[in-house]
Amino acid sequence: MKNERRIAARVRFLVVLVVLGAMCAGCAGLPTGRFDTLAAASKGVETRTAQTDADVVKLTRRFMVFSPAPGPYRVDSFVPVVEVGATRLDFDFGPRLEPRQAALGVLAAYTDALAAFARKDYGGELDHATHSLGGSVQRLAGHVTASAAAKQGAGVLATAVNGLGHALTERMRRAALRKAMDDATPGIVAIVAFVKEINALGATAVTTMRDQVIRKANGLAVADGVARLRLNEAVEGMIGESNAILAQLKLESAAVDAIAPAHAEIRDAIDRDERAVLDKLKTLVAEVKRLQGVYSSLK
Amino acid sequence: MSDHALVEGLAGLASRVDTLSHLTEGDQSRTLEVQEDRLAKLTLVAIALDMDATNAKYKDAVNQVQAAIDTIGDADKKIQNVAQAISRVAKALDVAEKLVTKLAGV
Repeated sequence: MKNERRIAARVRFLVVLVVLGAMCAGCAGLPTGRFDTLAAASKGVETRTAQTDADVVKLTRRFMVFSPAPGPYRVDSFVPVVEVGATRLDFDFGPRLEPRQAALGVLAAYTDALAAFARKDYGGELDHATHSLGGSVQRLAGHVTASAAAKQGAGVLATAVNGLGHALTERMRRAALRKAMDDATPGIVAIVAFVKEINALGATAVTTMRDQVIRKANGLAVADGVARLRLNEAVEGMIGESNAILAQLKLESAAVDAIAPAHAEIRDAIDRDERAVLDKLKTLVAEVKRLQGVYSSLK
Repeated sequence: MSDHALVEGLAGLASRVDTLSHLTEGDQSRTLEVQEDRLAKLTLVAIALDMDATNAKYKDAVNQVQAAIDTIGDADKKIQNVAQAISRVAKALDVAEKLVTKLAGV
């Protein structure tokens, strides 16, 4: 009888231990560092992309030096316009590239919001990120050339963040994050696809301009001497900058491609502590560092 | 709905025409150079435009460009019928230029 009581007491003690353990696991602080890393990486891709776009605009100006409007010089001799048939048509890439920046802005604001929520920074950062996300979604929606899928994707991210609310306990916060990240996944996929699509278009534009300049330069009759050196310099500049932009666009696509897997991995590891190794997140960080590295080395 | 089939086709065709122009001589080579120049300009304008891929004229332009690419085939090989290639490219250019000019609102 005594033995039975002793065993029952031990069982009760074990049950209490298990329950306490489970409660502690639920109360343990949410790992926030990985959310900060994801947000920093997304911001990194957005920043580099803005710089690349500025480089594409500069390259277009270089291209126009080789392809000015026919006839005497005018104020608009070097604006990005080409003659198609007998018609002068604009090919300013700025408005074509801008929606991609807006889409990346949505992604960066979304990851900022996740990080703020994980840190329980409801009043400051989360509020700021939510407003920033709303602004980026609106900016993207205003672009005629942005794909419908990208616009819908941005809306999905905004809805996911709006659903986060102000969770009171760690358990609620984890559940809210899981749901938001699950809901946001199709939106991230759509935005990543759009960004890569525009990067591919940008690469085609750069390749076309570079090849045209080479062709035109080969058609010029310039005698050896200072004039030849100047032409060499101009052509070399065009080729070097084109190749640098092509490398940047390729790395940007690789980096943005790494965001969705890292996001999925973080979502699956919400219950794992900060020390857990997240390979996909490491890959994303490596891609962003590579992107930042190539930009610095090419400048 | 928009896709980039026309941009990719024009860029690919420009590259093939360039190769072909180096493999030919005289008038044919010069004609191909002019065509390449037109294709390159068209590619740049097409990139800047948002095009509706469901539009029948868009599909026609894509088909014409593809037909010209098929005619040139692999430009590294000896081209048997350059005149036919030039004619195909000219047709593709006409269709694509009309489409792009119209879409640009000119």
